[in-house]
Amino acid sequence: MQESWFHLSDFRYEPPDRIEADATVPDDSLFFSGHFPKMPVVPGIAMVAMVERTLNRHASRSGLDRSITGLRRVRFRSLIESGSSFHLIIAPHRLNPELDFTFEVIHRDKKACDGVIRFCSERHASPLQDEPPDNRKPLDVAIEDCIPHRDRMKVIDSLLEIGEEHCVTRADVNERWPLVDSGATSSVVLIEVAAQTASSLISWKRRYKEETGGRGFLVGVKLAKWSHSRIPVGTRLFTHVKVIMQRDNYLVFASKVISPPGLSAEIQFQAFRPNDGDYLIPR
Amino acid sequence: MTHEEGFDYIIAFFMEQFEIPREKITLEARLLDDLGLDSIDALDMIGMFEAQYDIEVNEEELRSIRTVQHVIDFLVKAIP
Repeated sequence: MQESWFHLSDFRYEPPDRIEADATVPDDSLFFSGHFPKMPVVPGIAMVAMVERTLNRHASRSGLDRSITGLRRVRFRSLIESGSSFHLIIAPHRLNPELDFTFEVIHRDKKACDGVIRFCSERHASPLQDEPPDNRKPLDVAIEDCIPHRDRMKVIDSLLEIGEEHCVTRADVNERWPLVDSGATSSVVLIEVAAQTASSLISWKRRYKEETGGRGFLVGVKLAKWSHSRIPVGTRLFTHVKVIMQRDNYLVFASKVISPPGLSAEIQFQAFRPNDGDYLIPR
Repeated sequence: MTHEEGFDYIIAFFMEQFEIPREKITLEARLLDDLGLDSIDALDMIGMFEAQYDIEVNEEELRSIRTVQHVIDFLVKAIP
């Protein structure tokens, strides 16, 4: 099932600590049915998921009980078209080589994505506070009017609350969600859930507050941590997003995803709203 | 804030926020070319200064900050 999203090949472990692999997101990848209509570009979560699967394969071969429990300082550096191939380079992080790995996702000899990923036993995952379920009725707003994501890449179902600088959404994980395999998806997808919640807020501000700026693009994940690496199908997620910084067309969001009882995540991420459709982080 | 206090603050800030090794953080170090920051890091840094010290950084000031020394000069001037 997961092979329909992307292909991983030529996995190699170069002792003592370097891991490399190649990956392809084919033109007919399930990502492109809805990311985005008439503009098929590789989602940021696809590149992080490639790294995750490479590390999972390494753990499996090495007999390690480890999974992805967080990310930090991740950058998505350019828009990548469908049908692209990537080279992955992963190595232990100098500050905490037992738990953290730096990664680079290379496309056409340039970094398309890079960052630090925490790969450890879930026993070492950051404990996050449990919260009660949100029983409010959804607002009478069509999600399709708020976000450009469609088909299998549309992950949020309804808006529960929206205001000047915050938004709350609800989402039910189902079999059609990105990266679902064996009855569960990767917690990496929570980044997409948070980003779509933020996208709803941006759309609302543009429509009702007449703010300038075009569609927002995810340009980075400042910090993310979650309690579980997998989310079972059938899980209901409540996602709270608020703007914690805005400077012109650059925004930083803080989000909390909860699923009472037990699963939770905190994600700080960065978005950019180019006026001219251009998208690139200059050095 | 004195220059000395500013330098100590920036060393701790860059090490914690951007995971830059201590030995790289010199007064002459260029933020982009020597420390490996990008434009997003620069915006985040300014945003954190603004929030922490209740100051505002205008576009001209932002564009003039290119080295560690420039960051310290800005902080010393902005923070009494």
